[in-house]
Amino acid sequence: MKISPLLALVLFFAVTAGKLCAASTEAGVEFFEKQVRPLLVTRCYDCHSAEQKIKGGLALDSRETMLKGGDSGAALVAGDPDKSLLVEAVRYKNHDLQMPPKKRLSDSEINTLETWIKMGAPDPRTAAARVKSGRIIDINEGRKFWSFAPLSRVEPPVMPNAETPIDAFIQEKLKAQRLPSAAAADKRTLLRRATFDLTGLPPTPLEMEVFVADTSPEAFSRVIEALLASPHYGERWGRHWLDLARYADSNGMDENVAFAHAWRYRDYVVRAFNEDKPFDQFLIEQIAGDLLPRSEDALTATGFLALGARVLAEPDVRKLEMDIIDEQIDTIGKTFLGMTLGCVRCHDHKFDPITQEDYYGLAAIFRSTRSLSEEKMGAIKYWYEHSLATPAQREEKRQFDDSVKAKQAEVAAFIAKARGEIKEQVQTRAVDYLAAAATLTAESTASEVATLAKALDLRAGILVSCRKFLEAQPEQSVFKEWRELAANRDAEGVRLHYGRLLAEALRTKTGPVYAALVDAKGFLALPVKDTEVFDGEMLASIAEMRKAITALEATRPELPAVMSVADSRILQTLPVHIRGSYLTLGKPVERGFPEVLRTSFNRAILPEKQSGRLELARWLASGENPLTARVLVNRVWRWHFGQGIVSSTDNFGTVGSKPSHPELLDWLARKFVESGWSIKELHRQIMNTAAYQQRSNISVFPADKEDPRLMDPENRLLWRANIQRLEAEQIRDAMLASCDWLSPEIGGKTLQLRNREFVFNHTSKDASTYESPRRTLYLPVIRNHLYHMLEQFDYPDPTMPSGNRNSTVIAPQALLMMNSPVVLEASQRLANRLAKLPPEERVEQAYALLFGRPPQQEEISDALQWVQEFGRIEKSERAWALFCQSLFAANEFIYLR
Amino acid sequence: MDNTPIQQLSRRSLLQRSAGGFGYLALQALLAKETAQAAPASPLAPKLVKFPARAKRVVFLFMKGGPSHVDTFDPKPLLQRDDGKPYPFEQPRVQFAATGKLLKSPWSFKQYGQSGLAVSELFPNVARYVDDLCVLRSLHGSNTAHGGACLKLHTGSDTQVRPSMGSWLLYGLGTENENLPGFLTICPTLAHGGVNNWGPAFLPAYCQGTPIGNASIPSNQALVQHIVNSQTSKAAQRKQLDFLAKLNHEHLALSGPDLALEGRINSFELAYRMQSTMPEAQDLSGESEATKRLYGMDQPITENFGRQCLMARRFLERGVRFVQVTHSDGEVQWDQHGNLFKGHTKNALEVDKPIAGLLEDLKQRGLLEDTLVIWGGEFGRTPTAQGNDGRDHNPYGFTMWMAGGGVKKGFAYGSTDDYGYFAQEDKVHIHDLHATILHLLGLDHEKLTHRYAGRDFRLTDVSGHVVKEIFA
Repeated sequence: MKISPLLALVLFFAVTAGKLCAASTEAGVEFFEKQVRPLLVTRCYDCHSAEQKIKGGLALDSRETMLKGGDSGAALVAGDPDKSLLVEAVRYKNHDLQMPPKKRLSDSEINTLETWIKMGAPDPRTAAARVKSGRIIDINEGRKFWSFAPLSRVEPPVMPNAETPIDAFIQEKLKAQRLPSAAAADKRTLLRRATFDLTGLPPTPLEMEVFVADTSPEAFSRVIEALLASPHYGERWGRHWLDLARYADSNGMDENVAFAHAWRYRDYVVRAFNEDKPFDQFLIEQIAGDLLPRSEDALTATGFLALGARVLAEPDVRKLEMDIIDEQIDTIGKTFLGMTLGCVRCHDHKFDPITQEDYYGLAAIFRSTRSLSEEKMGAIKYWYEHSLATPAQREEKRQFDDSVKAKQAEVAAFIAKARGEIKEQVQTRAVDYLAAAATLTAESTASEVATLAKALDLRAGILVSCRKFLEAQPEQSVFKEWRELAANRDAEGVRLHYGRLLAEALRTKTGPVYAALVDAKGFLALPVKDTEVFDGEMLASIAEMRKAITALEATRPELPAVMSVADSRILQTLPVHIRGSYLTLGKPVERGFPEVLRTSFNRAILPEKQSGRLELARWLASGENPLTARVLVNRVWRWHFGQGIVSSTDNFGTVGSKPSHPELLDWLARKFVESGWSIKELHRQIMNTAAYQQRSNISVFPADKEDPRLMDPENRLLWRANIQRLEAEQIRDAMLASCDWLSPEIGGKTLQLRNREFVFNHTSKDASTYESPRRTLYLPVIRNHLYHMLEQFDYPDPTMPSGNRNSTVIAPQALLMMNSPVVLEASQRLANRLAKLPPEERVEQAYALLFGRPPQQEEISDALQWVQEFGRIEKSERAWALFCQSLFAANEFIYLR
Repeated sequence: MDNTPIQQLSRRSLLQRSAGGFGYLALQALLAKETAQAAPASPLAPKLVKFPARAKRVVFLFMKGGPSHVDTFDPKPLLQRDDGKPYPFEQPRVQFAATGKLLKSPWSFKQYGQSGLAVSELFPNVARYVDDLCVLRSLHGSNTAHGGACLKLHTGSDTQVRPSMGSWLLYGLGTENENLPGFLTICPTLAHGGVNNWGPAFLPAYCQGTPIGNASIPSNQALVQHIVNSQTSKAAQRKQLDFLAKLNHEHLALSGPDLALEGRINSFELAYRMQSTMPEAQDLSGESEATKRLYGMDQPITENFGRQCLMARRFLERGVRFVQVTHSDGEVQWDQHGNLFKGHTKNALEVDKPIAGLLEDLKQRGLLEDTLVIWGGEFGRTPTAQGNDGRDHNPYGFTMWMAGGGVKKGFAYGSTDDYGYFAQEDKVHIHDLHATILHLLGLDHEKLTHRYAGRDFRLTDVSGHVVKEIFA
């Protein structure tokens, strides 16, 4: 009978299955029940069963789930223990796959599992009644979430008393809740608020008086225009952006080395704000500036991707690369989209409709991007940099390097020559060394050797190595006699025997004795260490020459460069990394953007020969992308009001907060895109409203309204202005400005370290200094060791994006205001500045400078009385400095009403 | 101040953000009261689910650089036997540097006490207290470099900035002394993670560790930053602060009730008090000569670390929740890639007497019962040789020990393989260590969470098993 191939296959399966069934029913099942099941229950089920946990997607409590396996694949191959992951895990040979994690199974237990699998893994268990399934992400359902929905087209509501569209949106909500709103702030309060807001600096007394005197309706609009045109505007608003860019001048993390080129990115950001660079262009440059037509600005902008804190000494480079990519994706997600994409490295997002495939689609783009330099120092890898050097600068550097090399060669030649001379001199006295060595023993101490060498005018270091050599090389025939003579410590015999031989050898320059004499590793070898060869004087001259070279090297021209990225080998796909590890790879994913945010049904087509970063950037910056504009206008709103419309500024996902005014947010976002992504226009829109210009409290509550302190204690509906504490930079800048200490200089390198230099090596000695009159923006941002003023006043951690600084009140801030040198010095300088005025005017001027208002008569007399009384306990000239310090420490100085 | 609900609400939200200073106990009491009044649940309230606390405070003796476990607390007879032979098992996939053949310990081990636990001759003084120790011989981490390993040990993460374990403890428990910081770190090293090793990351600012000096400063010169005013006398400063308070109260009256403004007024008073309490706690002049000798302060080699340990005891006595004492100097102290014999001899000599002194002193004062003492470095060292007298970094298996605070006495838990390379039996990952420490302090590591950037964070991330087997 002829059997068709198909039938043969069917028969084969039937037979195989039958075999298994047979095994399952008889001895196999008994073996399973007696040996295997108890083992699985006690050692595995805690983490791998439907009843308890299903870690790594693996359940071992049914035959079906065991064969199906977990994230890493099938747990076993029936009949083949060596190919079964289960066996590999329990054998503990693979350090990355060891189960049970806490305690290895005993050898007999491992044997049991191997035997069982060899038997074909007979297993009577059926699928567990309750199988936990992973969360299934429904993209279409996800799209319905407010922040992923397209921007709505809304018109401001009609509110008769609203002067601006924004006020109409605000008043509509207040009216619905029957809440009152605060009256307009007085002019002094308003100018102080707006000036700090837009420039980070206090208004000068003159600016204040001009504004107070200007009674025209456009007075405040004019102020806004002047402030937006000030070069200090970019310093203040660029600083907001640097919070998001986790800007720093050092790496921090494990190895704190200097980012000496980071300042170019900082200055680029300041420039971009001052020029009102359209935000879409600003975004594109930061993510893909290197792929745009070459411009220094665009290249510099990619510092955004390079500034992250990295574990530079990570020995596992593939892991490091994926860590860097994760940091970049996370930063882009939080900064531009308000999405926590970093979570998705290891698993589908727990809350938002973002899958691991979405993540690895993005990761493939960045895997096609180079972030590390070819250069490294020992275990420390360096970030990628684009050089900005001109040919002339390169040539200058080359010449400098050559001159250093020449100097080094000079020292080497100097040493070689001196060593040669010593060698020659030692060779003429070879017999003295041999004789002296014969009188030494293995037990001779260093001081004995030194005494002997001194007495004989020999070199102690060479004498020691000579003796050691002779002890260690007994089989060389030339030294046979020495050995015998030395056994009797017969120095005279050594002289007699070797004196003539050595003299002869030096004359003929041939023969085995000569060979032994000049052998660079022989009995007269000079020690490797200079300290054992040369005397103090010689060593001092060498040290002097080397010091000069070190000093010269410190002036090595640093070639201009920017921290950056570049395209590398382009990967069209990248496998999903199961649980975030490159050791457990899943299915490959094509480069792409998160599906829930796609505006078209088709995947983006990315160029085969480029990473796709440029396309990613353009997609992010498109007006169709619902998140980018919403996130940005909300940030600007937060920075003006101290609270966002969405209060979780960096999280627009499902666990973020909901917008207090969703229509206003969409209206602002749409206007922003229509204005050509102009941030300055957005400031005008916001600051010209009654909402921005209102008071921070309501003195009389109307009887026909609800009490807003009860109804809306957090002021989400903006019934008043928020009282805001100055930020760290504003506090220091305002102090320095008030005493004429602040430098108006803009931009430039301020870090005192050379590129890649250690901020700290292992010595914990701080190499950074902050004694500078520059604006705080320009002080070095040293990760792991922030300037104390920044650290205490809620400067955000510069390793992660932050659009929402805290405003805490803690005792160390008070200590700083009471005792830190910078506050003490500013107080003294302000006192000096006031000193030429009569006492009463000093008080007036101090109030004008620090509080932006004249003091009341009672305040003047209080101050003068205090100064006078103070003179009784300490020198009265100190009184004015302490008076000024009290004003710096005062709430009125440090809070904006 | 009147007591309308709005005041309570904003006081709560202010305190959650700021707590007005180091004093956090008051906050807890306040929150408890408010919860009882059925105010909206505080995000703090639910996670304070507690077990009975076995320890109230922690002192962590951190040996920077990675002391060798096979030369101190983890004797390996086969390593002694097979000196010079190749390590017979597979070496790690990623090594910090390539290492050679097995290197026997140059020190001999001896059994001590009733427990008979073996300690090497490097720690003769600590060995006298071996019946108080709970030795964990199966620690393992993941990072082979100092920086990563330090961050992992202190914060649970070697890839991102996360709160330090001391910060988490302060967050969960508060402190018992409002006039001192609740988390102090004495002479910490600024390298290899630096501030991030005692930083609060996204936890509230009051959770930050307060450094006293740093590793490059001798401990007798170590001070909290800005605790001293170089120009103004105490009397003058008091007068100045009275004037400031007047200004601030007038400003407050104008601005209307505001809790940040009020909190800031109080923060100056607290800061003023701290200027007395910190120097007082650091001032050892009242300690007897006998006590100083106990810590080895009479010998130059032990003076510096002895002072650190004695200061630690004084802080613990005063209710500081978490005190870290770092043994490090200008070099990466315990990092003997070469010169193992010389280096470890010196290092052990510097700490052995002071640590034994601290244990004895805590015992005598009845503090050891509820103080958890932890000893260890960021990793151990390889049983294989680097050069002929050195060992490389080894995060795959190493030893830490604990004492006091509810752990078993004279007990060894877990083991490494026959040569001490990999943790093998009853493995304790760094996350497990953290889970266990929190549990000993009465906190559930799965419930002590903080919501930040859209998710709940834990010290143990998504891992961590409590090692209950070591509980007394």
